[in-house]
Amino acid sequence: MIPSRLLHDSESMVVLSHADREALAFNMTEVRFRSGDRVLIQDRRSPAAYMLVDGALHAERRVQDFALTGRIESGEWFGIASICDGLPVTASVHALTDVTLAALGRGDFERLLTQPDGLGARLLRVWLRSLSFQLSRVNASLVTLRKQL
Amino acid sequence: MNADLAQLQSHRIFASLSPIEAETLATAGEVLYLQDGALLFDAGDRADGFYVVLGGILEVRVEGKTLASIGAGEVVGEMGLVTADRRSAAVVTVAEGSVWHLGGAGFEALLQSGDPMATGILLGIARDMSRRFREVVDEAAELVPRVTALPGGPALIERMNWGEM
Repeated sequence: MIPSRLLHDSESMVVLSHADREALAFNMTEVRFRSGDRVLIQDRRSPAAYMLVDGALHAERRVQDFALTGRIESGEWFGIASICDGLPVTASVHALTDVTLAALGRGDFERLLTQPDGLGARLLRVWLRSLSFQLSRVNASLVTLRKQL
Repeated sequence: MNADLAQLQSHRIFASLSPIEAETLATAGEVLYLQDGALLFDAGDRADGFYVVLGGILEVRVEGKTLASIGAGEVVGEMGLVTADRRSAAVVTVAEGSVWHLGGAGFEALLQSGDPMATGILLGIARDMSRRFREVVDEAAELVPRVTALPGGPALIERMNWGEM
């Protein structure tokens, strides 16, 4: 369980009612990492979907001697795709500063989906917004790469 | 049941539904037949649900420019289940076919009643978006060695923000 204020302050969660955020907070865990810690490892499954509450995160996908890199901003979710489809994450994530995350474990997510109150469905709508934003961002970057060739 | 609905039930976004749920959901939507040139929706239209392409070819266009071609099995307009905002692109039929449409009101009723079919379809769409996300990141990763071999390529790659990937 996390303090529900961690979700009330996040823009990504405003589409959920106060009661939904309270219920979701009850199912989540607060996780802290120190600066430099590895949060996720590329090509391994994520144990949870995370929302960055505080701090700064860096994502990196190694490609031979180069890397695609990204920043994860406060209030953004990550690890969602891995939780939804059960496949490994596409990038490693490191803490650039001390960070606080709100985590929803795989098992807790699966349990939410079967709850009769429909909270799992409403959370999925929040995640679809996030996935759509991420998909738009990587699509735009891909177009930029294609234009170079 | 007609062939369109049978084809729809085997679609990956219905994968987490039982056969009975998938049939119920399939019949809750409608199959639309599209002639060449038919506009499925226009940029600026208020979003109303989403579509699964059953056959034919459609193009996603912004300001007359084609961004993508979509064919059978592809999902289009899925953000219409999340928000009633305006559509950001037009979708036009370039080779006649058909789509299955689930309207926003019908879906909202399922969602508000706590019907597990709403959860199932959202999970199916989330998985479909995750698949597309992985495909884009994989394609980008394949291009990186070629782009970095170009003048200014490494600096360009370094400047880009790929988010969480």
